Amino acid sequence: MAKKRKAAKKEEEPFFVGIPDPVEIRRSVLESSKDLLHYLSRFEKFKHVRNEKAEYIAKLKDVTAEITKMVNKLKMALPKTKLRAKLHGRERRLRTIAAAEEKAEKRKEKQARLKIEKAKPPRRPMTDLEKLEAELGAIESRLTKME
Amino acid sequence: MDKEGMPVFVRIEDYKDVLDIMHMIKNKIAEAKELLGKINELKNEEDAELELWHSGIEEVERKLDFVDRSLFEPTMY
Repeated sequence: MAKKRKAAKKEEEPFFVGIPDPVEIRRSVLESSKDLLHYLSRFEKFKHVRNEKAEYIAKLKDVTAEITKMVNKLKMALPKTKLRAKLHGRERRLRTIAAAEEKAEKRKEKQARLKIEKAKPPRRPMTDLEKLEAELGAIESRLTKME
Repeated sequence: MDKEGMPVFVRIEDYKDVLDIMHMIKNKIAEAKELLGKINELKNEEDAELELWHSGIEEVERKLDFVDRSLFEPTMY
């Protein structure tokens, strides 16, 4: 009986592991949590900066849209003419070559696009980005014609 | 004079409109530039903050490494 009790007591005995330099460890843990809390508080500031930036980006988007509208208005106010800037001979030749190359490239792209479009399902309504791209393409082609 | 060199005229009322629009566009472009400057400033602030976080996290990692090493090298009594 006494033997059994002694064995049970032996089993219940806790086992301790010594930690070297406990003060330094405690200091490290506390400093780490302090640092992390510090960075969490800084994150709030960071969020504020990000929000501010998002606001400015939205404003910039509005301003850009307004500029686009005004440029269109300007286009309407100016007479429609096929006026071409007079260029020096060399510059004109260079531009012609560049335009021809661009045209060839565009033709290739168009052919590739047509191939893809043939395989595509019926068209969906254009997104704003696509409209802008189309407008950009039209302007570019007009500029090429001017050259 | 060839066709390309032909002068183009704009009605005086339209011309005034054009000048007004140009003025407005210039103002808007200045505004856009200012906004871009602010955005850039904020972006730099963000980058600096991220850099600080990076070094801070490394520092915490270093400290926890020390704790980890200490805990896995218990003292023998």
